[in-house]
Amino acid sequence: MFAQIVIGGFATGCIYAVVGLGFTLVYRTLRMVNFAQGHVFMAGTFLGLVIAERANLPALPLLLVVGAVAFGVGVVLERAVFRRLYHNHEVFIVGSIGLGIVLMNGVRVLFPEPVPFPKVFGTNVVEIGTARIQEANLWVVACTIALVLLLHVMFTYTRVGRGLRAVAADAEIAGAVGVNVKRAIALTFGLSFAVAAIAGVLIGPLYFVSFDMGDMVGLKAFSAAVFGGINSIPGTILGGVVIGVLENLAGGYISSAYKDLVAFVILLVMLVWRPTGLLGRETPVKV
Amino acid sequence: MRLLEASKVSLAFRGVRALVDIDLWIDNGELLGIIGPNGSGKSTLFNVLSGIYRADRGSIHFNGERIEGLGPAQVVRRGIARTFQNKRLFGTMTVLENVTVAALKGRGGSALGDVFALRRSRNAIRAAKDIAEECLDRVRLADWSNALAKDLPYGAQNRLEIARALALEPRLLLLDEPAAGLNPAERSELQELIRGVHRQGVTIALVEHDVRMVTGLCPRVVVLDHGEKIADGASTSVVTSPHVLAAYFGGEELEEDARDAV
Amino acid sequence: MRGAPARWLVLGTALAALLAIPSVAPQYVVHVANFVLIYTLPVIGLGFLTGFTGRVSLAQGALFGAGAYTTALLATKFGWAPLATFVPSILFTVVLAVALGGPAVRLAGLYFVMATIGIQQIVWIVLMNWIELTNGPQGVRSIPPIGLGGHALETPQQFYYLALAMALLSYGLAKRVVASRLGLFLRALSDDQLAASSVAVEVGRAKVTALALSAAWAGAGGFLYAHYVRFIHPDMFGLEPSVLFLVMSMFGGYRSIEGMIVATAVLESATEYLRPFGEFRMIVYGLLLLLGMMFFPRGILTLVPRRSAPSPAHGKA
Repeated sequence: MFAQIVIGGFATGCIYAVVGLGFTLVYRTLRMVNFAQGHVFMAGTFLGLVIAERANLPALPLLLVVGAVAFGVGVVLERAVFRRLYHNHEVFIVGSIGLGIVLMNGVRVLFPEPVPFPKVFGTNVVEIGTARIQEANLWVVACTIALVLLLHVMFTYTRVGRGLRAVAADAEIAGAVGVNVKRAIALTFGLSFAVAAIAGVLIGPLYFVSFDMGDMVGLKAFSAAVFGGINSIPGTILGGVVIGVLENLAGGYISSAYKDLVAFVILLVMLVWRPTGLLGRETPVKV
Repeated sequence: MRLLEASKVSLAFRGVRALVDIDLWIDNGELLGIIGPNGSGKSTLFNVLSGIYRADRGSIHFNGERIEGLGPAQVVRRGIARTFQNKRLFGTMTVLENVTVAALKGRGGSALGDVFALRRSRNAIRAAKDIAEECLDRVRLADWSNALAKDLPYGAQNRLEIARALALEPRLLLLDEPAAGLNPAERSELQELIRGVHRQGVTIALVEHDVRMVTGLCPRVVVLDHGEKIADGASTSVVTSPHVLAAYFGGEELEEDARDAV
Repeated sequence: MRGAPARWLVLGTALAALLAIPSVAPQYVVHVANFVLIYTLPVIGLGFLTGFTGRVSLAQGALFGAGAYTTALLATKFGWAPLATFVPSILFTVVLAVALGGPAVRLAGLYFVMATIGIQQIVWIVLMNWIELTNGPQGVRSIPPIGLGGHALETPQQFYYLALAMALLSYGLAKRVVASRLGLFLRALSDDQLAASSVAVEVGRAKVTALALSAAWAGAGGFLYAHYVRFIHPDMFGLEPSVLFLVMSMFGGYRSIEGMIVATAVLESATEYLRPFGEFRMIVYGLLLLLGMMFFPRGILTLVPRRSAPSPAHGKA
C-alpha cells in the first residue's frame, strides 16, 4: 500500500512539477505570477482530447503536436496580451486571472460536463514489487523526466536557452550584450504554455477531464513552485514531487477530505519560514 | 561621560568582512566625525548602531544600556535617531506629515485605540504637529510644509531628513553623508545647521565623504578603512597622519584637503 | 475643509438620494444596491491593506466567508439571535486572519500575495470538507433574517436601511482610521518600511493591525451577507470574490475610500447587468478584467495622483 501511494503521488507530483515549471519560467524572467497557468494546463488537456479524437494520433505525436500548438499560442498571447500587463504585479495578477476565467469558461461552453479522455497511453497495470501501477502513471513519470532533461539541455547547451537564462538573470545586462529580450520573453511564455499543455495531455487519460480541473492543479503547482523556490527550476521539480507524494500519503493515512490542504499549508509555512523556497536563492536587501 | 560605547563589533556579508572588531565611543555632547574611503564600512557601522543590521559579534552600550540586537524602532526609542544617505523619505506624504510621524514617537496606548478615542488621537496628532512645525522651522523648511516629500528639491530633502530625525528628540543623532550632492552654498548652510543642532545639546556622529567639512566641524575624527578602524583622535592630527593618507586613494586628494583645512 | 457649505450640500443631497432609493427604485435595483452596500465593507477593509500597507491580498473572500459562516452557523445550529452573532462574527474573522496571516504580513510584495492564496484555499477547503460543522458542499440553508425591534428584515427594501447604516458606519470609521495615528503610520510604512521603523513606528505591529482591521470589515460584511442571501455555500467565498474585492479596492485609486465605494458600485452593477449574457457572462467578466488591466492599468496602479489626501496635516493648509 505504501509503495503504491508513494508511486501514485510521485506521478501526480510530476504533473505539479511540470505545470509549476510554467510558473517558474515566467517568474524568474519577469518577477510575475501568471495565474492563468492552471487553465492553460486544462486547455491543453482539451486540445489533446480534440486532436486525439479527430486525428487518432498515438501518444508521442499527440504530445508533440499539443506542445507545439500551445507554444505558438503562448508566444501569440505574450505579444497580444501579456505584454500589456507588465506595469506591476497587481496588474499582471488581475489580468492573468481574467485570462484564466476566459479560458475556463470558454472551454465550459464547449464541454459543460466532464468527459473521458481517450486511453492514448494504454490501460495495462504494471506490478512493481507489491505496488500495482497504471501504465499511464509511468508515462507521466517518464515524460516528465524526458521533458526536464530536454529543458536542461536546451538551457545549458543551446544559444536560445542561454539567452533565456541570461534574460532571467538580468534582462538589462542581457539586452546590453545583444540578447533579444523581447523575443526571449515571448519564448518564455511559449515554453510555459507548452509544458502546461503537455502536462494536461499526460494527466488526461488518468481521470475524467473537466473545464474546472485547472483551478486546483494550477494552485497546487504554484504551491510546489514556491515551496521548492519559485525562481529555481530544480526547486520547482523537487517541490512538485514532494507535494504530490505528501498529499497522497496524507490522503491515504490521515484523511482523504483534507488531502488538498497539504499543498497550501506547506505553501504558507514555507513562505513564513523561507520565502525563497528550498532551493531558491535570496536577493540581498540593500539599505 | 560615555554616551555610546561599542566594542569589538564585527559583521560579515556572505563571508565579506564589512566591519572588523570596531571599537567606538562617543562622549556626551560630542560632535564626532567618521570618515573613510568608499566601501570602508561607515554606513554599515551606522546601520549596526541604529539596529538595521545585527552585528555578528561585539557589544554596543548606549546610555549604560546594551542595545545590540534591538530593532530600529527600539533603538530610536532609546534615543538614537539617524538620517539616510540615500534619502528615505515618505514620498507620498507631505513634508509636515513626514516629520509628524516621527514626532508621534513615545506616545503610549495602542494605535488602534485611537480610532475610537477621537479626542485623544486628535490631541496627540496636534501636539506632534506642533513639534513637527518647530523642527521644520529649525531646518528652514516651514514654507514647504504642505508639499509632497517626493516633490522637494534635492537639497531640501536632506534637511527634511534632519528635521525628521530631530522630531524624535534624540540624544544621539547619526548623520549619514548629509552633504552628498549639495552645492557649496548648501554645504555651508548645512554646516551651520549641524553646529546649531549640536549647540542645542544633541550629540552628533557625522559620516561624511567631504573631509574638509568634517575637519571644520568635528574636533575628533574616526577613520575607517576596509571595515577596520585605522585612526581615532583629534581631527587635525588624524587627517595628516601618513597612515590615513595611504588609505585614501594614494593619499593625494586628502592631503590637499587636509592642508586646506588646517 | 470644515467650512465648505457646498460640500455639505453635496453630502446632504447624496444622503437624501440614498435614503430615497427603496421607495422609488424597482426591487431589482434595491437588491443590487444591497449587494453594493454589503460589498463596500470587505472592499474598504481590503483597502487598509492594499492602499495603506501596499500589501495585496487574495484572501478577502475567505475572510468575508469566515464572517458569513460564523453568523450562519451560530444562528442555525446554535439558535443564536442573528444580532447577537455580530460581534462573534467579527472577532472570529479577526482571530482567523491574524492566526493565518499574521506571520505572513511581514512578507514583501508578491510573497504576501502568494501567502494569501494559501490562506484563501485553506479556508475554502475547510468549509468544503468539515461537513459536520459547515455542511460542506450542501451549504447552510434557512439562515434567519435579522430582526430589529420585532421586525424581520426580509425584503430587499427592509434590509436596505440596515445595509446603508452599516456601510455609512464602516465608511465613517474607516475615515477615522485613516486620519488617526495608525493611518499615518500605515502610510509611512507603505512608502518606506525601513524609514518608518527608523522613526519608531512598530512596523510589524502596524501591519498586523491593518490586517486585523481588514478582517474586521470583512467579517462585518460577511455577517450582513449571510442574513441577506440566507443561503451560503463555500463556493461563494472562493478565489473569485477575492479577486472581485481586490479589483474593487484598487480600481478606486490610491488610498481613496470614496473611490473604493464608487468602484464597488460600478463593478457590482456591471456584473449584475451581465446576467443576460447567460453562460457567456463569465467569459465577458474575465474579458473585462483582462482588457481593463491591459488598457487602463492606471485604474489600479497605486500612483494615481491624489486629489484630496485624507491627512491630519491638511487641516492647516
